[in-house]
This record gives sequence, structure tokens and C-alpha cells, in this order.
Amino acid sequence: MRDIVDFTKKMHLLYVEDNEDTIDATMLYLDEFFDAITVAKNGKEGVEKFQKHTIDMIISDINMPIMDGLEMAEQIKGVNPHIPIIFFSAHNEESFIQRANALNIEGYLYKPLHHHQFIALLEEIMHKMSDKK
Amino acid sequence: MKTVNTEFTTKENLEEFLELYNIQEGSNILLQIFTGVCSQIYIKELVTTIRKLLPSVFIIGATTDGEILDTSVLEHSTVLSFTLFETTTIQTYYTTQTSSQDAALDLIAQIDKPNEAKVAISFTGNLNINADLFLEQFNIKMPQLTVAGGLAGDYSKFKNTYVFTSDNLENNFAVMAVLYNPNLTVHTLYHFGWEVIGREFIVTKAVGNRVYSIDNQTPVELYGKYLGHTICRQLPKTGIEFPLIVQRDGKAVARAVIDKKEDDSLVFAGNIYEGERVTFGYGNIKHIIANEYYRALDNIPIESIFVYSCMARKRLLGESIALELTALTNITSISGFFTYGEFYSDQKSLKKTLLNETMTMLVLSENSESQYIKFKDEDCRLSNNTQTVEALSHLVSQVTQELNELNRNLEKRVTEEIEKNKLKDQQLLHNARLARMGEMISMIAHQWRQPLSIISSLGSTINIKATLGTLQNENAVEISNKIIDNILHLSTTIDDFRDFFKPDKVKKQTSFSKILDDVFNIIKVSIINKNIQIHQELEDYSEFINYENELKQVVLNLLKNAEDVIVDKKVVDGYIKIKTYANENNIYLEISDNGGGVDIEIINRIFEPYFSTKNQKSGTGLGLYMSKVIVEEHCNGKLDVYNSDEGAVFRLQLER
Repeated sequence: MRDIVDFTKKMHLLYVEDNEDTIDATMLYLDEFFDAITVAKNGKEGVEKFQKHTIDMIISDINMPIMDGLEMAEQIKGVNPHIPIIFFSAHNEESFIQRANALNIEGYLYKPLHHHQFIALLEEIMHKMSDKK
Repeated sequence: MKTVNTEFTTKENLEEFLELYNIQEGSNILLQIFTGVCSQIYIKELVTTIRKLLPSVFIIGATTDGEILDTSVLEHSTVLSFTLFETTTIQTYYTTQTSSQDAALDLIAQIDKPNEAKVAISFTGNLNINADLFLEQFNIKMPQLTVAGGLAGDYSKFKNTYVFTSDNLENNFAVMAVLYNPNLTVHTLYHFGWEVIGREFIVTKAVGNRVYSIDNQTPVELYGKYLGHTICRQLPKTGIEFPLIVQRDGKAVARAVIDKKEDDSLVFAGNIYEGERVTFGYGNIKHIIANEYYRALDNIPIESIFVYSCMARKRLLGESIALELTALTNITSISGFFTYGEFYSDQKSLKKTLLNETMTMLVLSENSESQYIKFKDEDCRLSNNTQTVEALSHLVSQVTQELNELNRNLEKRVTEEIEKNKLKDQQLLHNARLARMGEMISMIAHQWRQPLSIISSLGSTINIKATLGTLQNENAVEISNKIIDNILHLSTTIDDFRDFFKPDKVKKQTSFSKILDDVFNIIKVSIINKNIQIHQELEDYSEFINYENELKQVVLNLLKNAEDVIVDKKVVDGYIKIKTYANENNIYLEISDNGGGVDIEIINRIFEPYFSTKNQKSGTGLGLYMSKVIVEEHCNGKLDVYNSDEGAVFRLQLER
């Protein structure tokens, strides 16, 4: 557990989500893992903020106005294929998830948030990244 | 006692006959005269001649539609039937009263020893008779009396029929001979043999024995339609061959036509009542002359037999009529006449009724030791020469039966199909209900997803903080408050939905803006999630009184349809526009979309039940139908649709 937090604390997270209340609640949680978090309200804003900051990891909703999470992921992976992206979305959007597979995504989290799944996913990403090093 | 019969030709022949049978003045003699000569002058001469020979003979007579003498059917002749009694007293009576009831009461009043009166033979001679009324008086006043006889005839002219006694030859409504002898053995018998043909009709207007309409058409029209115009033109004559048959107390009673009126109503020989079901009758020869019914006369004493038979039997059977009587002539000489209606007293109950189309018999014996008969089988057998008619008769009755059967099957099929459709309707309504529940659950899911997600994140936050040892009291209070807030939100959502789908019992004050607020509470998330814009142009905020929840469901249905069409057609920049406005009398709510509109070919059908453009799974075809029913039948408003440049416009109109 400590290892994971030590690993994530060094990272700069881009969190993309359109619902204010969800942002508020999820930020409380994510604050425990990440010291630096940039929030974007839709895919387009996500791409812009990705270009502006040095982002190490992305957690994003899928269904959003203006630009959805999939299109955003496509564009970002086009720039940086190795950046870990986690989709955090509702169960009923499985058709999106099929499309997400093609994008070589690190993982999905279903809403509502499953604490242990999230930890497991972070651990997986941590191992993958340390292997590459 | 004995009965001897002869045809009257001349005075000389009659004298010879009287001598031959030793019929002398002073004896106890009843003479029944059946004459086919419908002339009062002839009758007067005839009676005068006879009374010269037998001054004290008791005479009753009637004009006829044919005379019966043993196995012969005579026409326009005169048959004299002498019955010589030993122990019986005879009296004859006449009445000139002009109503059926008064005539009967007059005759009854003249019976001097009511307790000893055993049999009355009565003939009536007024064509306006209502024989049911006539006989009813006998049923009331003389329940123990057997009444036989019938309505006089005039060879189907229906103009003048006469009845007479030796005391009065003219202007008689009815005459009657009463036999006083408590020990007289009396048997009555009737044979019908007519069969019903075709379908049942209902008598729609009748007063007494006059029928004005059957199945809401005049009786003349009915006869013309079903029996053809030849038969119809010859009414009332042909109406005896084709009587109407009524089922009363499980017994088929025929009612023959006796008069046709200017207004195409028909007068029948007896009453027909409004609401009674009638069928046309026709003579089935096989049944008419199947003499099985003679068996009723097996082993009873027989000295005299009188026959009063419907004229229709003569018309139908022609020469074969003798077959009805052959076996009987071996026992005794038979006489009688063809009537326009027969008086029959039931053998057991002695209830007196008017019959039509039947052959009735009165069988008498003074001496219980007199001859008995056992009929042989061949007496009851059908003779060969009627086989063709029998075959045709059979064909008709078989075809009628098969048609009735088909009809019944058809009715059954129709009933079955209706039942099936009912089931199908129930199934579809059930599916619609399920579909609506599905929609509702999906809307609740939309509403709940965010709060649930938030609660989960907050719970996980506590978990991670506790694990890392960073949880502080103020964090715990702040986070748990947020969790509670969200749980309250979930609870409110459930209440909203429950209220929303609760049917209204009473109308209440509401407004389109309130209805829209409540509907958006439960559907807005779903619309916004699909990136559909909502434009509101509310000009009218007035309040009205109506079924609020039902209107909410209509608005919800219209919004949902707009949402579906935008999603299905993958409209870019989809929007739903909501407008309210008013004029002097009405207020309007318009819901429009930019989904392209309704195909012009089906725009008139979209409010029909089970009509759906959506695919089988998602559309029940009942949404718009039920919305229209709610608005137009419950809420006293109107719901219609038209196309704008961009898409469909649904307009809901209510009274102010």
C-alpha cells in the first residue's frame, strides 16, 4: 500500500470528469494518492491540459459533452502511446469499452468506485512502468 | 251410441239413409253439418229440409275449407254427421255477441247443468275472432269441460264464414253443442307434424293477435323476403300453409295468418306476443302422415270419432290426406271438416288451447265395454307414393340443419377470435406496462448513478485515509455528512418517482411550468447525458385545474419520444424545444425536436394503438395512443401533431 502511494505521489494526474459533484467527491479520494492533480471538464479541455502540463497518468470519464473520453484518449495516445489511461465510467457504457480496447488502455474502473479494484489497477501500472525502466 | 255419416245430395237420398240406419224422430240425436257451400240461403233451405224429417234433432253446423267423410276429402259438398246417444243429454247454444270474450261468456252462461257438462263441440264463424281470448274464458269458468271444434272456413276466401244451430241460422259469432253425461269416455288427440325452417325472428311489435313488425320489418315484408313474392301476394291465404311457429312451454304452437291489413300488418288466428321468437313452419309430410300417434288410441273404447283438421294439411297433402285417416275408418265412420283453427283440450289437464296446422280428434264412447282396437304396424306405415315429397322434405330439413350448424360454428369461431384478441390486447398492455417499468428503472438508474458514485468515492476516501493513518476527525465528519446528503438525495428521487406514477384520483390546481419542472426532475439527466439541448420558451404560466400526474406522464412520453428520435437518427446538435402560450380559451404546450419529423404517410396513424415506428423491442406502439386517450378522454383537451421544418411538433391543448 505504502509502495503504491509512494509511486503515485510523484505523479501528475489529469482527471477528466464533467459532473461537479463527482469531481468534488472523487478529488477527496484521489488527493490521498496524488499531490498534483489537474482537472478537466471534458475531452477537449483534457487534450488542452495534457499539452500544457507534463502529465504522468490520466483518469477519465467516457461519456462527456463536446468531446468524449474515447476521442480524447485517441488523440493523447497518438502523441504519447505509453501514458497510462484509466477509464472511470458507468457499467452501461460497455459498448464504449469495446472501442476502448482498441486504444490499448491500461484499465477501466466502473462507477461506483471500487476501492480495491483501483488499488489493484495502480499496482499493475506501477509494475508495468518499473519493468520498462 | 253410434255415429253415421253421409253426404247430403237430395231430400230423397237423405230419407233413404235415415231409414237404412234407423234414425227416427224423437231419439237423442246430435247432427253436425259441415258444409262447403258458404251461402246463408242454402243453409236455411238445408236446415229446413232436415227439420221436416227430424223436427227435434240438435243441429250445429259450420262452413268449411273442405269436408271429411271417412277417407274422402270432399269439396263444396255437405256432410251430415248423425250421432245417436243413449244416455247422454244434448243441448245446443248460439251467441251473437261480437267480441271473442263476450261470446264465450254468453255461451258459458247458457250451460244449464255445469257440473254434468262433459264435452262442448264449438264452431266459431267470425273472422275477427281472437280464439285465445275465446278459449281463455272456458279455461277460467269451465276448467273440467272438454272443448273441441274450431274456426269455420270459406275456402280460403277469408270473407264470410257461417256457423249455425237449428234455433238461429244467422249473425252467430259462435255455436256450441254440449254433451251432458258424467260417464261419457272422452279422448282428445292432436297431431302437428309441421317443422320449423330457417332462422328465428323476434316479434318487435304486436297487439293481441295482430302483428305489426317482426325483426323491425312488417310481417308482409318478412313473408315476401323469405318465402318469395308469389307466396306474399297471396296472403292471407298462403299464411296458413306457412304459419309462424312459437315455442311455448316446450310445445311448438303454430299461428296461421287469417287476415292481411292495409298497413302490411297481419292478423293471426291466435295471440302472438311482443318479444316472442318465431320461426317459419312448413309441413313435413313424413311427420304429418307418420301415423305413430294412433298408438295413443290403443286399447281405449271407441264409438265415435270427429276430426277437426287445419285446412293447411289439405293444401299440403292433397289426396294423401286420406292416409292420415285410413286406419281409423276400420273402427268407425269418420266425419269432420277443415278449419281455420282447431280447439284442443289437453287429455290430462283439460287446458284448452287454439291450435293451427294440426289435426285434432275427439273420440267418444258411452259404453266402456265397446270395441277396443290394437293398431297393426302396417296401419302406421308410410305409403310409397309420398316418397318423393318426403325426400325433398328431408333435403330441406337437412340443409337447414347444416346451415344452422355452420352458423353456430361461425358464431363460435367469432367468439373464439374475440377472446383471442382480448388475450392479445391484454398481453400487449402487459408488455406496455413492462416497457414503462423498464423505462422508469432506466431513468432511476440515471438519477442514481452519480450519487452512488459519489458515496462510493467518499467511502473509499475514508478507507484509504484510515489505511494510511491520515484520517482526522474533521475529515471523518465532513465526509460522512457528504455521504448522508447523497443518501437523502437518493431517497428523494425514489419519492419523486413514486408520486409521479401514482394515478390521480381528483383534479388539482397545476400549471405547465410545474408539470415541466417535475418531469425534468426525472428525465433531465437522461436527456443531458445524450448531449441533447433543452430550449424553453415559456410565455404562459397560468394555472388550471386538471389531472396533474396524468399530464406529467403525457409530457414525459412526448419528451422521451423526442429524445429517442434524436438518438436513433444520430442527430448532431440535437435539441428539444418546449413552448407554452395561450389564447382566449385555451392554453398550449408544444414539444418539438429537430429529429426530422414524422413521415407524411403515417402521420395520421401514429396515435393508433399498436402502431410503432420503433423496433419491436423498444416500442409497444401504445405510448402515443395512451397519451391521446389521457388528454382527450380524461383531461378534456386535445393532442395533435404536425411537422415543422426541423422535426415533429406535438401540441397539447387544454381549456383555461
